[in-house]
Amino acid sequence: MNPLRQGLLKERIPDAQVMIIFGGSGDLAKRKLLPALYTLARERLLPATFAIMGVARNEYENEDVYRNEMRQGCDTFARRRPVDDALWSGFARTMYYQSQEFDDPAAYKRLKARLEEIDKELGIPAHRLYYFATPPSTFPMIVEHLMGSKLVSRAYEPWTRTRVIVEKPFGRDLESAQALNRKLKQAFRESQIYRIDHYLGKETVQNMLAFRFGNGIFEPLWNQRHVEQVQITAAESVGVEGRGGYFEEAGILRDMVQNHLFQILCLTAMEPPVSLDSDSVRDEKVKLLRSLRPIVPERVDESVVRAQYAAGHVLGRHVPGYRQEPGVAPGSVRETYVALRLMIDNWRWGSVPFYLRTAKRMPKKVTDISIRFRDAPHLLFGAGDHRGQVPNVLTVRVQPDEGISLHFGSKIPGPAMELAPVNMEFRYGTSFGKEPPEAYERLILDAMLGESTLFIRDDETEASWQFITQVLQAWEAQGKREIPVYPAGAWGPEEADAMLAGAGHAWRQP
Amino acid sequence: MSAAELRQTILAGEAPVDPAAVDAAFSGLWRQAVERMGGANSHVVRACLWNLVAHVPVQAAPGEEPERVVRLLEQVIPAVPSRVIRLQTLPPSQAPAAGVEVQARVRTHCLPGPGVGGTVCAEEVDLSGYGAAGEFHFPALVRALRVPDLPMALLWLNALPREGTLLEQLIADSDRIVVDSHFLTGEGDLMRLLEVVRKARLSFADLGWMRLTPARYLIAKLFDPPGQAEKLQALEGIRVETTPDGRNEGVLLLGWLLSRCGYREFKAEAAPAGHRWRVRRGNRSFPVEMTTRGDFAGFDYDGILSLAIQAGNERYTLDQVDQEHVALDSPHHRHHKVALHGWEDSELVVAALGSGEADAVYGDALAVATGLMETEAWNR
Repeated sequence: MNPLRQGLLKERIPDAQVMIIFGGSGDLAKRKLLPALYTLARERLLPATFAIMGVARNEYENEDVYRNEMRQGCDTFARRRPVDDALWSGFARTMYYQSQEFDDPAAYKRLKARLEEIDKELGIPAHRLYYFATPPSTFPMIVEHLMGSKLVSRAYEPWTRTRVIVEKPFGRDLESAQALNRKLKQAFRESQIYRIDHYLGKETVQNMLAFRFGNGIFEPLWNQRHVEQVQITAAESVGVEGRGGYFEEAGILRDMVQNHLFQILCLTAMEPPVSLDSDSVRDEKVKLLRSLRPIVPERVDESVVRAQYAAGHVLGRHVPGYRQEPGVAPGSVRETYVALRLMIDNWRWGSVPFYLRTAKRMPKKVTDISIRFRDAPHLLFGAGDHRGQVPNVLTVRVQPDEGISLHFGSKIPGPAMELAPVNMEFRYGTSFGKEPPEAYERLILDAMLGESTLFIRDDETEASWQFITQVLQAWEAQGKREIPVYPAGAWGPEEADAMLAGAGHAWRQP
Repeated sequence: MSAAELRQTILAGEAPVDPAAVDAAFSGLWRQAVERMGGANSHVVRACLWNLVAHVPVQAAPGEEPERVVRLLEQVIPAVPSRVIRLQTLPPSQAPAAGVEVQARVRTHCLPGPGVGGTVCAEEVDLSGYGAAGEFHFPALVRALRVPDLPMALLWLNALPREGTLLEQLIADSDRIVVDSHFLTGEGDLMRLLEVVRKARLSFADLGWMRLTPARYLIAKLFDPPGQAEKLQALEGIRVETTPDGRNEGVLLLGWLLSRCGYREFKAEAAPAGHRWRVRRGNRSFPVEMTTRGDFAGFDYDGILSLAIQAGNERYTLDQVDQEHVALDSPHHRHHKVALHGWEDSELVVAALGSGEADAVYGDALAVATGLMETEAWNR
């Protein structure tokens, strides 16, 4: 142990790194990864010795053309913009690019030589952080060639560690997820693999841990004795945005529920971890996923509603239906909306339904978690006309306008004893005077530091796929049949309302 | 939309500073600010995480710049919304009227709320005490004016007072104290700081120490490769060179290196220039030297100029080559030039208001540093 390191780790500045982005010229790199890295540089959270190597099929006349394209991405999408010229010139100086096919063994030899050159330029051998921002079908091939070229090592190297960040979708069912895990583990140890879900990088999602386990007043209420129901909504106002082909294959159950919504569900419902280290938190998430009551295939429609958007109006614009989107089959029955009623079979949540819904083309973009508490056992106020019955709802807004609000009843000023609903609000922007960092900033920094709490472990991804695969198989057993539709701009189909109405519940309007 | 800045003076009277009047003045100023900012953001959000009590020096001693503290706070507040209470002791001759011992001025600085509409307003109270009699009012006024149930941080970023009990009284009410050892250049100042650290049961941050962090990272990095950390147990010599005003940084760096490596016994030795000590542990001993150099013209810099560690027959060095770069040299880093990003003081204060964890490494470093300064070598 280096005694001079004591007390320094909390500073959160990683060791020397070279980040190799497969898919380095793609949309994700331009919109998210490079802007996040630039912002980290601007906030001086990158190591003094740092380089980026973009790897993709695109050909550029020279590396300056690549750098300029990435600068445009940063100018448009970085949280801290406009880009500072002086800072950019230093940042871009160690940005490199290599055009290659992902199945070309010679290209990986060239890549190895370039990385060794970069090490020399930087003056010291650096950690290597690979980022797979390519279609998932390429992951096994890239892993194979990285191994073949000895660009990765499973050995523990304190000075030149290799790590890999893997983008979603991580498989398309349980079997494919298991196969991908097996492939990755040929090249990396589990502790070197960082399966990314950018929802976990969102400040409000992380705040769920702080909110629940850092305060004494909420956790005693966080159980079936006090909570009546939980709703998690992830709504988007956009449609498939030119990704019709991808969406036809995936559907929103795979695209959103298996990863983002289940992660939010885990943090909302899991038991307190013994510590915040990565395995303690992830152990609890896996336990929660394994507690989900299995779906009975023949009765899947009672707890899962799927639907597809038809033409309608969103945010003042007329928008086409899903089947009219480019790349979508005219008779497609692919779901763009899914709502689930989940039951968690453990002592904490025994009788509490968790309603999850996510969809395209909803009235607005919003992600939130709302916990509705049980009513007071005896109604003192307005018992005759129910004007005293104000539901207590705690809402955690993940996006936009991150914050937390508590809805409760308060006496209306005046001579009568009447209650009206009021809100107690906490907003990140105003309480802390600054906007929270972008999810990718936090997650990339964590991966560089080797902190994996906010990444998904192999058994976690397999446990969530195990549940989702049951639903997929139940749908498959139903054969191709028409599914409900909802007009764009609505909160979903009637069938989803009916699913809740049976229990006397209703979807909230976020 | 522009930010609005408004001021109001709470006049002296029977109760010279009335907290209710201060709060009423803030409400009035915020209403004015909203009108001035155009009405699109029609509500004021009061964002407040800390009570920040800042001592503002008068221009009495070298390095004491009242404006520096004021400017610093202006940069800190957008990142850490707080009620700021600034304390300044002025000569009795500057009192607005005879018999006035203390006066408050309130100021609000409003900005559009980030992303959510509304106007976020800061609350700043300037307390001017006239003469020693005025200063006596400060502790009780701070207690009255602080926002309830929020922590209080005391920012004392200049030399420690030679007399009076103001610092001690304010510390007693504080949850955190932020100092800047760079300015504690008076004889015995660092020793007094150590006493404060030991006595205070509150979290503590020293901007002078925090400025060393980037260099500490790089120095630690020299000993990260396999087999290198062990060399620190076979130290053969340490030499530090600083700018003339960077002596405190130099001695803190030495304190850090020696305390981390378990060396706490030393005695002064004669040196042709600067300071020299012999450090001992068991049968091992080695020299430690510290010198200052003023002829490094060419870049604007204050602090550590170079560090050389001789250990286990190897040499490890760090040299400041220009304002933003250092050169590292070690068995694993041959003439390696790296960027050494310094931090703005406002960024350091924001960081100091972050985690409240006690920094045991600092406590150890300061104890050894003050030990070195207590030897006769320091004042030669």
